[in-house]
Amino acid sequence: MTGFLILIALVIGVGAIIQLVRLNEVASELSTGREQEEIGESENNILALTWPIFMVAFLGFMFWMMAKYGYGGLGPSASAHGVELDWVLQMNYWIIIPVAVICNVLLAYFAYKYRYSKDRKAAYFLHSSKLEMLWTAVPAVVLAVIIFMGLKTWRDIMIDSPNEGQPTIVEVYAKQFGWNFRLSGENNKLGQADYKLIGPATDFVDINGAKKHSNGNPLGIVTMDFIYAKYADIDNSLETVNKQLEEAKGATGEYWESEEIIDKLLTKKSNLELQKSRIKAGLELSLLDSTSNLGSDDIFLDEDLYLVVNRPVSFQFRSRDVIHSAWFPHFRAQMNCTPGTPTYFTFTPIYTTAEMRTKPEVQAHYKEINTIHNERLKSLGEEEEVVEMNFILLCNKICGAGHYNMQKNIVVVTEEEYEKWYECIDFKEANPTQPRLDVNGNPAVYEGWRSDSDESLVNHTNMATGKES
Amino acid sequence: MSVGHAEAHAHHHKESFISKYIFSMDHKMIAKQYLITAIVMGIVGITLSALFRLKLGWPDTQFGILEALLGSDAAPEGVLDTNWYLWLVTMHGTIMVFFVLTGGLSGTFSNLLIPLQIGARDMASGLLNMISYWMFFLSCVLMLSSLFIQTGPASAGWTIYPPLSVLESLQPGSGLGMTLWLLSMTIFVASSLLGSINYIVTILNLRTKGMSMTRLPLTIWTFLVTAVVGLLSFPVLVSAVVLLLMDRGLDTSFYLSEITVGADALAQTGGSPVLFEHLFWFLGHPEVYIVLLPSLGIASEVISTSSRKPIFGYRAMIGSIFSIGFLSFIVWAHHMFVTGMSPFLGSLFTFTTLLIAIPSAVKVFNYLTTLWKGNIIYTPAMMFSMGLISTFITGGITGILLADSSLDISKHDTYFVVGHFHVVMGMSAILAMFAGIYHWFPKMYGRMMNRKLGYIHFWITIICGYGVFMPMHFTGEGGLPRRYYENTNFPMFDHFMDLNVLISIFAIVGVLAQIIFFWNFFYSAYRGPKASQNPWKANSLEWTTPVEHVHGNWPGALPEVHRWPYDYSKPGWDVDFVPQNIPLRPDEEEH
Repeated sequence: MTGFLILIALVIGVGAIIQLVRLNEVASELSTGREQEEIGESENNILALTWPIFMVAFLGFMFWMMAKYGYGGLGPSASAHGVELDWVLQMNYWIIIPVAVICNVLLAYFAYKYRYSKDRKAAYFLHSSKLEMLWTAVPAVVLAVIIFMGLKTWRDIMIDSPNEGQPTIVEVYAKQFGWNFRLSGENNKLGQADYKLIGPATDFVDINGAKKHSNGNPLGIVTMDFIYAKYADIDNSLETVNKQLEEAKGATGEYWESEEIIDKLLTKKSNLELQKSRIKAGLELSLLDSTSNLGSDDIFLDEDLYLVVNRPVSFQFRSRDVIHSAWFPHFRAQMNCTPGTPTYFTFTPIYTTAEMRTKPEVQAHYKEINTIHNERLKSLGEEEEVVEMNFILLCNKICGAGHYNMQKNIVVVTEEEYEKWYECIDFKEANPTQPRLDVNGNPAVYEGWRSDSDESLVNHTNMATGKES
Repeated sequence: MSVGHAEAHAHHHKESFISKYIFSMDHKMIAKQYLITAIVMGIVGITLSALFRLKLGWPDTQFGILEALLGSDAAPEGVLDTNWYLWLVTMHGTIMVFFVLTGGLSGTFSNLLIPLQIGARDMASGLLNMISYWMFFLSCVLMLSSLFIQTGPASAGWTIYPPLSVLESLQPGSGLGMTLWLLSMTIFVASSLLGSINYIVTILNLRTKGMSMTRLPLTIWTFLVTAVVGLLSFPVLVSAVVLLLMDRGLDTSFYLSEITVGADALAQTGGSPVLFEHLFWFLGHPEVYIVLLPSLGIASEVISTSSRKPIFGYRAMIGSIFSIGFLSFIVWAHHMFVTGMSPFLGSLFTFTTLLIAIPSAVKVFNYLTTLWKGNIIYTPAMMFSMGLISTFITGGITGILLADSSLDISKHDTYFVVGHFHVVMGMSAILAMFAGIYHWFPKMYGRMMNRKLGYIHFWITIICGYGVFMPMHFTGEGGLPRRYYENTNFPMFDHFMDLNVLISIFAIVGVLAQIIFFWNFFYSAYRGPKASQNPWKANSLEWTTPVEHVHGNWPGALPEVHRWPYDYSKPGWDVDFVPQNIPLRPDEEEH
């Protein structure tokens, strides 16, 4: 139906344009250049009048949109720094909207007031140092305020907030087209990760000769098991290549396949061998010390991420393939995920998902969303559903065909709820090479936030003297 | 003897069709070639936007027209393919920014106006000028040809960030399509550099007698600064592009590190895509001003002429052109606040970026003061220039939010950004380009465009422009990311559904309305009524040349300049304009 209406509108539009053009053709045959050059005073008056009319309509349109869509739908900031950010944003709006309105209104007013008149001569007003100083100095002062507010917030967000409290460490690993998380486990420390260890799921023999299965290590976590799993994967491939090369040999021992195919196989073989040696030199031999154990309690997560309210969470962002951008609109947080370069962002959720849902403006908004959403579903012939507010993570940097649909929910809960969730995650699916054991070899039980360790990201002890700084 | 000789000389140089219309070295012809090429590119660029707006406005509707127009690969059963959507977006951006607003705007008006307004016979090097145009033409052909290849043209966004633009396995458009994009852009940059050198040399050396720098029209000042900015920034894009080509073809890793494709770990390590972002935006941001400065120059000229009033604060205007030109080089990283770069850099770039608001504010207030107590005649060009002031205010002011690194966290890459730069750069520059075309059409073709169609064109264009881009600020406030193929996967954005319909309607009507312009332009070029020599009663030198183009611009001696170009409504004169070549009266003071 809509398509049909558009088609009709298009046809009418095109028809109208054709008619206009014809009319004009007839008219232009009668006209001379003078007629196009000299604008009559009455015509000029009408044109002058269009400006205030336009401006009223334009500003009306803006205020209508502000009324209707000004509540963007995100609700109050759900993070601590976001509250400050929103306040600064408000302040900025209070400065820029009046300036934009005043300048536009002046434009329209002058446009009408100073329209051409034969009886008047324009002022010969060349410059005025006073005026020009005024409108260099006033914007400069206003901008100084804006810059000051902005930089203070920037400092709070980027430098100060990561240094406060004891943050939970979580990794966000982006890929085409989805998000994976890595929880830092009982030790709240992320182990090393290396992209070379990512592979397909495979069976392997570990360092002690025990048979195990790897899920493919989608995050590239560095543990001895994953290194051995990767060796197994490479060896499997090598075996296949060798077999193909063997088959390509005739009875005389010479290759009968085309040179191109043989070259490809040989390149593949040497690449695989190179890969193996790089892992050996770069990971196995150099990381045999205890740091490699940090990764063994890390938890791979391919579902909603749970966070604890009022506890800072420090994200590390990595990407597996192209640049993505982790965008948490409700938390006013965003950071690019760049392959090869980890990035960081820290924020503190201040409302649980449940609290956020009970906020009156959020409720009112989601009532509207439900109506609109279900109207659409109905028109598509799909079943209706109830939409609830969820904190969401989405991709905000063009990353390929699936860019528009990379989403994960972020669920903010209380500490008790978090513990329950932590103990119930299906770890077997997630990280099968390692049964979830704590340091003592017992099944991991989340015991809340250890009170004896009050570490923040920044060590406040002077490491040279050992004294509190 | 000399007259006879000149005639014989002119006769001897009766030009063939090819040397006159195709491989012409005459700046006026080259300007027209640039303009026509830009119009063709513009038609392609805006059509692409209308096509993807169909999908964004009506995500669930099947458009037979898409399938009919693009083929069943692109829109099976009338539903646009995701990769096709991305390339439409990418090519729309590339074509509009580089080929229409850079090549088209600077190419057309710098070429046309520099010799005419400074009183020169032609550009310093006609040959370089011709080569510059033909390289531009070649780059257009390459870019357009990429639309027709199987895997599609570049589709990594117009900023072509690696690794997406490097690895074909991650994005089909990053194969041959991206190669063509890179080649095309390299040639484009070469063309732009030849042009810039020519403009600078011509402005500095070929000014006619009496045309001191402070008697130059502001258009020339903006062209000069634009050329310098282009000359210094475009080569950086070439280096970025060459490194990208090497990453693509030679397995180097300038931009690549630790990438896994499927289960294959690529061998490249140690590079950084952030390096590319720095190199790209080192051009990319000045590029905004390469587009905007000539627009402001054109607007200054038209506003002063049509207000019958000297431009207010001529020297302050030149000062702000220079400050904008200079500052444009030290703000590029404000496109990268969320790349994880050092917070200190973020602070620095916030500071420099917000500084640009000062010269921009000076320009706006000076325009308003120029209108104040003016005697405004609303030619179509004036309507468009006034439109530019409005969009420059409205679009510029939202830049203050984006320049703020902390606020940018919640605005970066959302539709707020799309709205902002389309208003301040896209609309302003397009409006200025139209203003320039309506204003100098008589100079280019010796004929007049139809005025009434011009007004209709203007009002539809600005209403639709605002109608498209202002709502985007609201969807951006709501957190909607740009370059999404559809927004229906997130119920939280559902309340913008009707706003998206509104945007799409405005976009499609706005695109269709350009037919009025195209018709007016081409019809008037051949059939329009003959123009008189100085239809707008303007002061600058181009209006002292004969209507019919002659080689060398002035049939006789070059005019001598005695005054600045803004002697409108000067006290002591009965007429309200005094062209630059009129000598000062004995008792008259120069402004």
